[in-house]
Amino acid sequence: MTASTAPGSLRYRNESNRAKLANMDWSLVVLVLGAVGIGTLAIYSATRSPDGGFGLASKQVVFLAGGLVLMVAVAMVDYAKYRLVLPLMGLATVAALVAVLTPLGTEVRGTKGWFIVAGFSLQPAEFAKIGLIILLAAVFTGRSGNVEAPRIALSLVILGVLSALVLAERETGSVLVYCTIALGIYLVAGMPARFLILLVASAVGVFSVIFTSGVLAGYQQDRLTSFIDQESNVGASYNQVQSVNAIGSGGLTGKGLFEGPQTQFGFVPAQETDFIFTVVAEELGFVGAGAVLLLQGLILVRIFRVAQMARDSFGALLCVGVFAMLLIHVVQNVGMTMRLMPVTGIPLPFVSYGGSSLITSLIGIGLVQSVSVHRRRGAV
Amino acid sequence: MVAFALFSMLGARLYFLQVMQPEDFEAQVLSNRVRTIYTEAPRGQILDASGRVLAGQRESLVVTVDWTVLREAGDEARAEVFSEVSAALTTSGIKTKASGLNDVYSRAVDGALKPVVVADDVGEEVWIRLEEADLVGIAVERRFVRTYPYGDIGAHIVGYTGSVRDPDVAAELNLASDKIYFAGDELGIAGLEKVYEDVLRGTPEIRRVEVDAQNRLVRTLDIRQEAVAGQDIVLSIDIDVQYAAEQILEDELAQARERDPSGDGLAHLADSGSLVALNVNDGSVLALASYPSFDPRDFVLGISGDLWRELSDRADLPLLNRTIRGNYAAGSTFKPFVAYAAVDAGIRDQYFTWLDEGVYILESCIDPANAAAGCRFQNAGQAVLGPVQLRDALERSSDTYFYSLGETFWDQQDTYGRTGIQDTAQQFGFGTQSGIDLPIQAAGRLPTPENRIEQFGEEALWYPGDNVQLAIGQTDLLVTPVQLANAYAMLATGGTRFEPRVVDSIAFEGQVIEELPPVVAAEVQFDPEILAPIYDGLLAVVNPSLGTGRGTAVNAFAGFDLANYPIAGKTGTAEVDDKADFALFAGFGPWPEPEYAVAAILEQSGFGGDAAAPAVRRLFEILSGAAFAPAAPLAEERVIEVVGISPVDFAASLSALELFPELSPSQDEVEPEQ
Repeated sequence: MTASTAPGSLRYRNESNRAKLANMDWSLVVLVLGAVGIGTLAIYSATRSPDGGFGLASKQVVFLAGGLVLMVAVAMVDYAKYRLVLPLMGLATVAALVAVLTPLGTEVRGTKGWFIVAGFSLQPAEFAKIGLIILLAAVFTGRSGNVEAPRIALSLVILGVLSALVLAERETGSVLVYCTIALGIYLVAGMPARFLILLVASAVGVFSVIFTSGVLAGYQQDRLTSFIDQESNVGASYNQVQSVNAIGSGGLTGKGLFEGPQTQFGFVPAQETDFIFTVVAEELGFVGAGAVLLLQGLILVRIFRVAQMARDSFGALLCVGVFAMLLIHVVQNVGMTMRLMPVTGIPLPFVSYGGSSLITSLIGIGLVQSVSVHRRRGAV
Repeated sequence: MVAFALFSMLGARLYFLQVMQPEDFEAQVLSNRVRTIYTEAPRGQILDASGRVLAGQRESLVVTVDWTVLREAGDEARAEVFSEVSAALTTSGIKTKASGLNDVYSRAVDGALKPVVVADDVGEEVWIRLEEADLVGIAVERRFVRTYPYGDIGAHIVGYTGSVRDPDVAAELNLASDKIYFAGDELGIAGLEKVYEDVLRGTPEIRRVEVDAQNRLVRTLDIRQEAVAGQDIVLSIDIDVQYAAEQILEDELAQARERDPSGDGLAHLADSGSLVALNVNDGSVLALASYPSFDPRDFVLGISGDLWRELSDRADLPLLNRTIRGNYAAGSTFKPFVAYAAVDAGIRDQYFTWLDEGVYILESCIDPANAAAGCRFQNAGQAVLGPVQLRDALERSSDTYFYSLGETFWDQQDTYGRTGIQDTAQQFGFGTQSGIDLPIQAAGRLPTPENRIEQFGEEALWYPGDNVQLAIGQTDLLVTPVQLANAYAMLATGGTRFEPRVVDSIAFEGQVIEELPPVVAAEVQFDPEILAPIYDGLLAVVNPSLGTGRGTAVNAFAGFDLANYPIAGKTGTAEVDDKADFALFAGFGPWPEPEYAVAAILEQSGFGGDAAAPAVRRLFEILSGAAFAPAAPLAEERVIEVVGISPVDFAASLSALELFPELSPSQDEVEPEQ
């Protein structure tokens, strides 16, 4: 499957790094930095210490620096080269997800999905999203519009293996993301409608079995039932009650930075990570929260543009994968804080505190940038 | 397309929650896994000029109930806990019923996330017993409790604290100030405790802890806010001087009760009064005595309902700070300001000689008593003073001299304006709040034809008789004791009026961190040539050697070292319907470089020269540096046993005390004086 494209049909452009940089989508970079900026401010507000310490914000800046370096590095490499190392990438992804289940991994907040390395905790389930995007994009590259059964089967195997592994780590939220990435790629790759319907139907079936069979931990069931029946379990819907109160009390212009009582007195658990949106919404109001949504929307618009200008369908599918990943993160995360969605541990890209999430998102942007840098000649 | 639809949905939901505000999110604060534990920091102290503690802190052992825990416990378990606690308290001498504890608990539920106090000053044995019983939701802990070591001395100045009633009040407070409040917190309610709340209140400790499902503490997550003690305020008042002033006032009232009725023939009730001393050069207050007083220790941790009713229902209004909230007819103490207005307007010069025949007939009015033309106004005691100039009219308090001025101002209003007297009086601060740093002060009243109609309606017309009465400080002219003292202070300085200040500086841990500078309320260039004869007249009132020896306060100051410490002042005897005359005196000294202005108003105490002037004289003895005996005693140590209701500021719940003759619609038909 590697290097299946004939050399003649692809013209690798050996341009200087400077020219490559110039071909990056800089507006995308600016939008991402804007979102990270607001996020870091909110993290600072939620975690700063009374004596003026920066709290987790300083760590987030370190992650940002690392993530930006990786983003540029990923962007500089022609994405076609990633196909050359596909088997390696697949193996590494699976290995990491397996290893984290062994005693090498650590359990944090009910999720056995973390490596603790040199004081930093890493979540392989996050990085696996990138692996999945590249793998699925590669699987479906070729004769577009004619997705034959073997390819679908292969993609389902990949999806199934990764999902099973993260489920074992109790990273339910990641399964949702994986499925969305797959769905996005299926749609754009031109999967016939009958396959799609079949897939969605069987996904619903699998979900029902999982939910009733006791594979899910008690708290996971609680989260879902409490979302459906708000009165059923006060404890589990606590996050959302607090979160909705915080968002609602923010009003049009917010309580002012560092002035939100819900944030400052810590009434919303996980407010610097999964519930960071409540901090922005409470302290900066509709103006600030709307700005975050707008930035996320514009980021997606830029990724869509890059996909349209892609040199080949592999590049376009990479963009689609990243697009789907970010979209489901934003919709699920923001929807969760406003009680439109059940609670799952999915962070808000670029905004939530967390190295794995931020770096994964930035690598995703790096992939998109690589597609942009190595786009069709003349495409703007 | 799908992405766009999803984003629209998110945006719409955000708009719905934040801008349309379908629910009152503010009120909904709950806690679950993470609890915020919140501990009040010690409140700042109130110190007198020499650093003695007028309001301080001590630690008390209190029993608290944590409703968040007890709510989970279930009805049966809760009843058991309460009966155990009430048994422990009752054995130790604090009578408590389990149902009473349940009431406190019920009120606290869904309130502030902090344990409520159900008993304080409990003994060690209660502590040990309850600790051993290890009852769920019950704790014995040390808390700071307000102390007022001087008891009722200066109580009106110091004020008292109460508690934040409910979360709504706490929310309002949090909006209005940068301090943090929760329901049940200590809050300044009256006096300096109220005015300097922002300074005195500390910053509470806010600590986040993780609790398990049974609300047991697992670990401290972080300390969001370190506790910072409140700052202290230092007064310009020396508590010994304040105590002396209160003793003098009480004593002079007692003497007035013994004295025979004066001009109006009514017995002296003499149950209340004020004595105020200000520094004329910066407005700082030296004494502010209001009698009767109360004991702020009754308010610590809540006042019992019975005592509160008793204090607030008493006819002599002990909770009312009369010095700033009592509105009184000024009587003749108003004359110097009328004199200035008249000479300034050019109606008379100081040498104009008026023939005082003891009676003044206002021709334009009909006297209903004999249906003849003209109303009779006469001097107090029907004295006939003969020919008087301005200074004599002040020295001997000639009413007719000022009656005629009042009529002239009105008759020639085309020349002098309709409010010639009032315009000058306003410059001296009459009719406006003095600006003293104490709460709920009255503004007095400076009546004009216009504002009287505004206040009492179209019926309340202004008649010439009003102007005649105004000229001797009657009709519905009202002053507070502080206003009166401050007007005389301005007279003494020749044109600078300060806002009176009780607090001199703000301190923290024994160090002054901010000096509060004097605040100039008004700066007017009064004409020294007009002031000179007024000073002469006021000096003659007190000093026999500087006048004819027949001044209205000469007797009161007999024996005072006036040669070295000359004092200028004016007596007043104000009439109030159906009550004995109110005695007033206001003055300043030492002449010619005045330092202090002092005013006294003694209710229903007879002539100003008899009752008020001696009080001022005795306070001047202390201010002039004479040794004085009364050192303020420390109040007895007292154990607080009752947790009662949180009081309100009494003055705020009361319309200002207003004591002046009733106005009848036909003021021109004024009765002649007896």
